[in-house]
Amino acid sequence: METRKQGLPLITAITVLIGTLVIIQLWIMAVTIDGLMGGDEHIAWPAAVVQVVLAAVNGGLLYYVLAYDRRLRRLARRRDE
Amino acid sequence: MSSESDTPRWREDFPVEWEADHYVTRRELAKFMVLGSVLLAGASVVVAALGRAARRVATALRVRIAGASAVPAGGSLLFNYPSEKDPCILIRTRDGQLRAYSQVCTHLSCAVVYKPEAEGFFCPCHHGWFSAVDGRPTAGPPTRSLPRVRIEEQGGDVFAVAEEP
Repeated sequence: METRKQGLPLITAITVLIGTLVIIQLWIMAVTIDGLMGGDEHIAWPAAVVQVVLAAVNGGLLYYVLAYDRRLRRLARRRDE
Repeated sequence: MSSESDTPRWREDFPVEWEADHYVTRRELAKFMVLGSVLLAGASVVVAALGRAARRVATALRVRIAGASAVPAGGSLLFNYPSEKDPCILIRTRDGQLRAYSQVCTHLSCAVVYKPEAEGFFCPCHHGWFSAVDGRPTAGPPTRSLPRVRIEEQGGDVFAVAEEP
């Protein structure tokens, strides 16, 4: 059963993970623009695909956090009743 | 008399409990970062699409540079390709070969000049050198080649037909 105590380290870990993925995305963006400026546009589409995948992973992680939060609220409501 | 619905909004955003306050903050931070992540992904797709579109435009352009006799051996001629904002340089090497490159140094965008005696391009800003044979950097700070402009000779004229990476 989920508890708020479990939720704190969980959301911290997920936030750190999302932050790490965003930093990787920023690095990919920088490399893509550098490549394009240098005339190498072959890297652009694979990089865009990876960016979309990373954004989807981040979205999934956020969804998990929100779902966890919803479950906690539901449990708390039930306890109050 | 108060009920749950009477709780002011500020109380929800700033709960008194320290633990709950941090919980909300992290969740909001995660949402903000995911928004940034999605925007980055969208920007990457736009950048990739624009890069491809720009390449298509560049490869579709055919521009007359000059008459082939306008550039003597060891000489050079400046032109703009694919747009008026892209300075390029047409050279005739000492052995008579015509070649064209972007004139913008790949280090910090200074204009390079052709040095026939060294068979290369010299960037006066930071003393960078590029080969006139293939545009590769040979000395100084530049690490990337000069973009080459593909040219064609037809009817005594020289045409720029595409920009190569």
